[in-house]
Amino acid sequence: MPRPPDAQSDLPAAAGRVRLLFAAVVVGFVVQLGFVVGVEEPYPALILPGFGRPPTTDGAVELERAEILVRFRDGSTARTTPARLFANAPGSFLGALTFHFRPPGDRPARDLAPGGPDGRRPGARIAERIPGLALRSARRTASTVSPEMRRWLQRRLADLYPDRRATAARFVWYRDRYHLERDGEHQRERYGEFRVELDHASNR
Amino acid sequence: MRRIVDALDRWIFSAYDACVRSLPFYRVIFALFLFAVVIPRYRWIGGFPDAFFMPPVGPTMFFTGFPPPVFFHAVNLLLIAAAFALLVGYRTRVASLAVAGLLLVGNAWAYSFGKIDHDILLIVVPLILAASTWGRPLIASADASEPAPGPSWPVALLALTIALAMLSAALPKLATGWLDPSTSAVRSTLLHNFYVNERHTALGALLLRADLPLLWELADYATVLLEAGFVLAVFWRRGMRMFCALACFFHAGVYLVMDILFLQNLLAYGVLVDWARLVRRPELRRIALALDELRSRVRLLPVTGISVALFAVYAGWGNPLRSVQRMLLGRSVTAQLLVALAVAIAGVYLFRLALRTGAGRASGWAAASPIAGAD
Repeated sequence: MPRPPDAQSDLPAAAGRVRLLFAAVVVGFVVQLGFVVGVEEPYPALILPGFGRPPTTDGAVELERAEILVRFRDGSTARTTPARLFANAPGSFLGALTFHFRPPGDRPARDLAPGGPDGRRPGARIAERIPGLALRSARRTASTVSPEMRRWLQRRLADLYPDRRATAARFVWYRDRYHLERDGEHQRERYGEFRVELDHASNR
Repeated sequence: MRRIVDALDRWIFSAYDACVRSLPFYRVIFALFLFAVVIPRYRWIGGFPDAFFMPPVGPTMFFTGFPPPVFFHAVNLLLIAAAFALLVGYRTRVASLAVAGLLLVGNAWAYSFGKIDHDILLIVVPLILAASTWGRPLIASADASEPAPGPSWPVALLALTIALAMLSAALPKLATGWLDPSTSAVRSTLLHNFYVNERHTALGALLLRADLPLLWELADYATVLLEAGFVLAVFWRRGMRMFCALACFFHAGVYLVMDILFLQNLLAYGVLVDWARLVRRPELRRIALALDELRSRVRLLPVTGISVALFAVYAGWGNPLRSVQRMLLGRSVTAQLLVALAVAIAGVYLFRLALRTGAGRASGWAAASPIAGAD
């Protein structure tokens, strides 16, 4: 970044570099938009949320929601929500955290992930050699959670239900269809489930 | 061609001259915002295992897990030191770059959970204004009898960055049917926030029950027009101020209805507010003088000592402002107060602008407003 002049009178000396800086910001922005459209959103990037395509079809809005059913060693059960399970993280991370508990095969990938549905996107081969991106790709397609994820879930459920020991958690996924023209009337369709056995989590 | 270059030069180097005197005040406000809202940050990351690591394309993609919790404590300590240095005006260029760098590093890890929160303007502001004269003393900068205290191109660059950021939000909406009368994008987003993200607001619940198709369609159009309009308004200081003021109402509305808050945007718009007018009030002038006095005396050792003490408070107690509010009121109302303040400033500015445009004169109470600023 050019050294800022102390007074207006110094401006002409730095003017060329300042103009270049402005041009670089505009060009960089355009290049970045191209990358977002063609590949994925990087970080950092000069991007504010677009909120994407409205999930509206035939006057209805489709939303995917999860519910968590916890089974305890004493045979009792409890029902909780992702918001409560992930209460320690900022609320905006709810979708990203719940992602790991979606049914396998239902984890949307729109990025460089070499093993994902968009594996042929530009740069996918490069991504295979980048440790974080390769790991991310593997997690998108994994059919079970890792032992450390299982231990975390066990600990978290112990925080939420201190008097009981959880033995399993079922993440039940629903597709709710809200009819905008019919006073918010909605239909619920259960479309998947992800089950995590926790009984031996601390030993694995 | 020469005329276009001259016009661009006028815009880059002088369109935002009127904002330069207020930059030191904005620095103090920015630093206070960091202490009131931003810090402490990232501590929650330590509570999650590496199994959640899903980095975006960026610096963290070369790793396979998160750093240990002590790393985020160090980031917070350095962030506190840099924010404190900004507040008191100590080595502000280094402090500005440090704030931007630390937030960037911390965010890069936080967003490696697979979700990017779009608070990039919080980083862009100190990064760009590091090249400005926002580190100068408050009173000397506000003194209209003195020569212009520095170049205005950093403000123009920041305004351009804000406009491009807003455009980045408008373009996907334009491309994905927000202006299609058969869809109701704002309503869909509200439904998603209400039911999926479990952000239950009273106004959101009320609006979901209401049968107002025209209102929803207007909301879709207004959102896209406002976000896209910035990129034209940026070439005209008054236009940019007007769009920022309108955006304050927009963000307040989104917050009330959907519980989505972009405080960092409100803060970024603040660079265009005429804060230097504050020193016309004797009590605020005394505070500014005291800060200038502190600035002239401050040295490395006290900055370090106070930063460590502040870190101890933030690390042990969380954000003290929030903690005190939770103790007294049961919850923190900092965000609500800041939104109300932004809306008040924006409202007074727009009211004055309307009066100036309409009747040519501002009313007495509006003219007396210390911060609404005239163009």
